[in-house]
Amino acid sequence: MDDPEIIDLYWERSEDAITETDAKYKGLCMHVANNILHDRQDAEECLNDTYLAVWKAIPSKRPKYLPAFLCRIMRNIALKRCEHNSAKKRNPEVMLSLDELDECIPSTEDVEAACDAAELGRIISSFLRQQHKRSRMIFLRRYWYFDPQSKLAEDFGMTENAVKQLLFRMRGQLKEYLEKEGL
Amino acid sequence: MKKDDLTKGIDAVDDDLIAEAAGREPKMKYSTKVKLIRILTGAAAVAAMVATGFLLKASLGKPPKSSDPAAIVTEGKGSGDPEAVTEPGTDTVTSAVTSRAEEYVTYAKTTTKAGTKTVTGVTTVTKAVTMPDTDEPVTTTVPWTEERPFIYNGREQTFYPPMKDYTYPGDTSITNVQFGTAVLRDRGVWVNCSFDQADCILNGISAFQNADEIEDIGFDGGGFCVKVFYDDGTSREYELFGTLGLYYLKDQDGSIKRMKDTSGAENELVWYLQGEFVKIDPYITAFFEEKYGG
Repeated sequence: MDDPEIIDLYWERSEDAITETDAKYKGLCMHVANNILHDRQDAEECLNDTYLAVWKAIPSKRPKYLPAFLCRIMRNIALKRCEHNSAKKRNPEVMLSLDELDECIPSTEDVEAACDAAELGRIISSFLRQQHKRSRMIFLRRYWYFDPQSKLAEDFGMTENAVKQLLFRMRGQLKEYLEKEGL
Repeated sequence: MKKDDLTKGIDAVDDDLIAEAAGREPKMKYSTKVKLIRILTGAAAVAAMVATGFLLKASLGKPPKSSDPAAIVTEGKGSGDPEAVTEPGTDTVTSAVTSRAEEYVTYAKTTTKAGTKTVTGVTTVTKAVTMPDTDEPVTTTVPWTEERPFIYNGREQTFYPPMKDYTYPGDTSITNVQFGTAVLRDRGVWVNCSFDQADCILNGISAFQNADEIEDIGFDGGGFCVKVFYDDGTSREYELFGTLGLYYLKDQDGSIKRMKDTSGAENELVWYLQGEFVKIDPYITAFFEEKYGG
């Protein structure tokens, strides 16, 4: 079923919406949650929470990109669950991925300067649009979906070292880009 | 900015990019079967392109003359004389039939030299001429756009005359065509070209640069070699090596050139190779191979 049809089901308050969403996007959502939680039971609970959140959100929203809408909710719920879990259960891959982003932080004097997340999202999106499709996919798969570098190497037919280098270069470029934007 | 800000910023990346990243990118590695198919189809394509190359050479042996009523440049910098196509601008080609107008445009794309004046950093035709095959005169506009200059060894390069007048090294005759694609195979990258000479210079650079895999081959403390194959069975190797900020290019004859643009050694290598390509032939198959790891 096409995404607009699934969204229509939500608007009609038909419970088939959940069934169709589950049939089409369960794998993707579980991938997002598993990357963060590394615990199938936790991930499935997050999945149920996600379906409930989507059910509540549509209507009044009509997402243009349903998979992104789902993943965003799933990711937020999973990250919250991750925060609540004990430290030893935290997924080192997520921590590692977030640590890598340190290199992107511009070296401004005012380190406390607050940035509006939406505006920053717009700037980062703009940066990513200037990259090759494959590069930005890899970037987001690493820092948005928290995919391990080994998985990226496998999925994109590259060596792990090549993935590391690509991400290293992109982090440097993002830092420069953010500095040019005055951040 | 704090790290939290950055992570929130990444969280807020546009939905279409998130959805795109969720999509599946085709793997760049191929099964043996696929490889075999690619080799076979590649061979067929090369054969077809070789034939096309000969036809093109035959048809483009000389430029369309303005005296030929079938293809006349009625407006623009090439007015009255197709050989005057030397500068970016807009030419209007009037032709009775499609083929002659296209021949003019192809010629304009291929050549950049007129008389003693050699033009650098010119131009690519961005809009193909499509004209009905009719006996009635038809007018079409050929837009030119200025592109980046072609720079090699720190100076602007001129385009060379059509390849049939130039041989390098020796009397190699290269008709191996297929470009614009870069395919990662194991630890190497095949890059092929099917553009005509002008496009090879201008678009070929993009083709190389757009091949992520080339960037992905490590430079830090490593290097890689590029092998150019000629259809007479000979080949020539170039080798790029060095460490961060200092790169050298070793030619097959053993000569070593220092890369000047240390921040963009990949680009300089591309330009260097393009310089070599221009000398020999626009039709090149190059194999980028990781030499030392990176």
